[in-house]
Amino acid sequence: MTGRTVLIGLDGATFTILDPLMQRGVLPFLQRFAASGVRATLHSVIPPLTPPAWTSLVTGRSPGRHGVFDFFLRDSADSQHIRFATSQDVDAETIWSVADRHGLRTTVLNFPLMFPPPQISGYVVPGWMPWRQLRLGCHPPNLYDRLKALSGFNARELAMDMELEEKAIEGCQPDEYVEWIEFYTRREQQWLRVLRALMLEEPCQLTAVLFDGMDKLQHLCWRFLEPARPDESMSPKARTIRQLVLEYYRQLDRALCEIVSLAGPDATVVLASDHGFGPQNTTFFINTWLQQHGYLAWADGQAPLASDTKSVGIGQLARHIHLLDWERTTAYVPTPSGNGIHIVVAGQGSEHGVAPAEYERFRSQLAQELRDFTAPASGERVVSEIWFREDAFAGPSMELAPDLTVLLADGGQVSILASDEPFKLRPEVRGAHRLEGVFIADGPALRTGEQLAPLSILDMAPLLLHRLGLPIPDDMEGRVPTEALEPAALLAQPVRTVSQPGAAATPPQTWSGPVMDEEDEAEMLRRLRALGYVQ
Amino acid sequence: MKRSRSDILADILVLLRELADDWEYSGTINGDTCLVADMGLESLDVVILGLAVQERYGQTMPFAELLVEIGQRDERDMSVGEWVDFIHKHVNDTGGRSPESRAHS
Repeated sequence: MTGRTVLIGLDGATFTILDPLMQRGVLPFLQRFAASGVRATLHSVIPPLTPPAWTSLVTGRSPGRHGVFDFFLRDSADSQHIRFATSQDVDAETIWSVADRHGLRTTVLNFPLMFPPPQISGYVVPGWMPWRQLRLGCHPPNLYDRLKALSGFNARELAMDMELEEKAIEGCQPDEYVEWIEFYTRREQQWLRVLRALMLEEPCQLTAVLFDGMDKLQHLCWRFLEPARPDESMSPKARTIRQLVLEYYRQLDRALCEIVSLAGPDATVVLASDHGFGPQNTTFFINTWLQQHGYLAWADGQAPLASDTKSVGIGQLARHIHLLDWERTTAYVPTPSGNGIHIVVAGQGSEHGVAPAEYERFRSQLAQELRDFTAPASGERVVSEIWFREDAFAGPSMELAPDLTVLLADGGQVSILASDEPFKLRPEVRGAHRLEGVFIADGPALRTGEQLAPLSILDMAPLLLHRLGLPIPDDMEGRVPTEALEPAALLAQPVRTVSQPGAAATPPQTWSGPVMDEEDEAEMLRRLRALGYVQ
Repeated sequence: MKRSRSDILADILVLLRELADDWEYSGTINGDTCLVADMGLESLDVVILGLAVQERYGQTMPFAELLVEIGQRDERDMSVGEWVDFIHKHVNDTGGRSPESRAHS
């Protein structure tokens, strides 16, 4: 066994923001930490979104292998019903499950897709859990009462409050920013409080905590945070908001310092994000585009208008598909998060839709029309890349994945609402996800001051298992990034793999696109034929 | 083992009262209590409760369809009694899969 291993998740962290903040002295601990360890850009999965990306990071498998593509998923391949994804939908073993099999204990705090909680040796408080039901998510069952006894513990601040979450999607009123930013600053303190108690009283070999306020703040406050934007160009109110956001980062930096100190000098500490971030200047109303091109029809009077901001609330999403006229809809986007288009295929839960024999031609034509769509003012393409699902999501869960996934030219997320025009400039810049996240790590076995070539998010699970002294299941798609490790540490603890029963033969499918050999291609064609997609 | 409606109602009332203590809800909870109007739950609260019930009974149930049906009502709400009826209808259905069947985490 090596020393303790700590994974600190920073949801949405990007070097685009962290580097300037380190240079300006806002993140002094992180600057020292990165200088004494290794760092690299961490490429996310398609789509670069919280549930699939964190699930990939902690399983070492891509979405087509673990089955999580979005916050929501379809009940089955032939169902239009969507529901909230849960831990039961994760079709791959997590690092804490592997650790548990080897007799190691884990503390897991605030990761998504953790409810119902796994029955591992250690402690679990799930993320994305409504505060009223937090008790049900805690493992072991008496943990919630222990947390309640902590001085300053506030379940409502720690767990999810839907009204606040929806603001990250729908936007804040101008007078709500201060309260909203201060809430997320306090929220990280709540998680730190729980983490501190467990690290001191019940130290585990593996500790994993996710801080997700960065993602929320960057969505709404990107225009206040942009490093290139000087203070002098901002209004006094905007400067106040910028200072509050910077205070969030300062506090997080102090939290990181404390966690690393609690972990001790022998620990390996890995900081990683699920995806990066960047500005989004436009809105592509993709369902409106589909409607205008004859692919989608809303039921009479049911079009969810963009002007009605409540119509896209997370709680409303499951209803959206019932606003469609299914006799006249052949393609639709059910959620605003995954940029995924679903094609209605006749015979798969619906008598209407595209005939199976026509599927390939239909999908190719739709993809081409999307590629050809240009912004009216600039003439530039709106969609920069489109992935077919067998390219992005090869694996046993592919049938539940979107048929097409789009990458927008400005890197943003689509809107699923109805609008008079399918493409508009945003009145204000907001933040949106990018594929390029961050990896920073330090510990006795890690090299010092190295900037590594980009890594895959799929490499994190093998690295963490290696640092725990465990063999790597051979169906994990990533690798131990040995270039991050001191040669002596590798000699002392070589990488070991272990056969994983039932491992699939599909190759890694991450941001870099399809990599299929002849055998995989044949298998994919066999699957598509079985589904009636290929003659 | 078949579960009676009264057993399920008793189970659900214990669950809701335990949770209600955590958010300091002091109103009465019985079969007529409405989850949204009386207890102040939000749609995701109801989703999570549905998952907890599936876990407890080891049986998947079509909660997504139930939520859509509720969403189309004039009053988007459901009483505890209605919820128990739904569970009772599906809990003894052996056609569904176990919620653990895909779980590895």
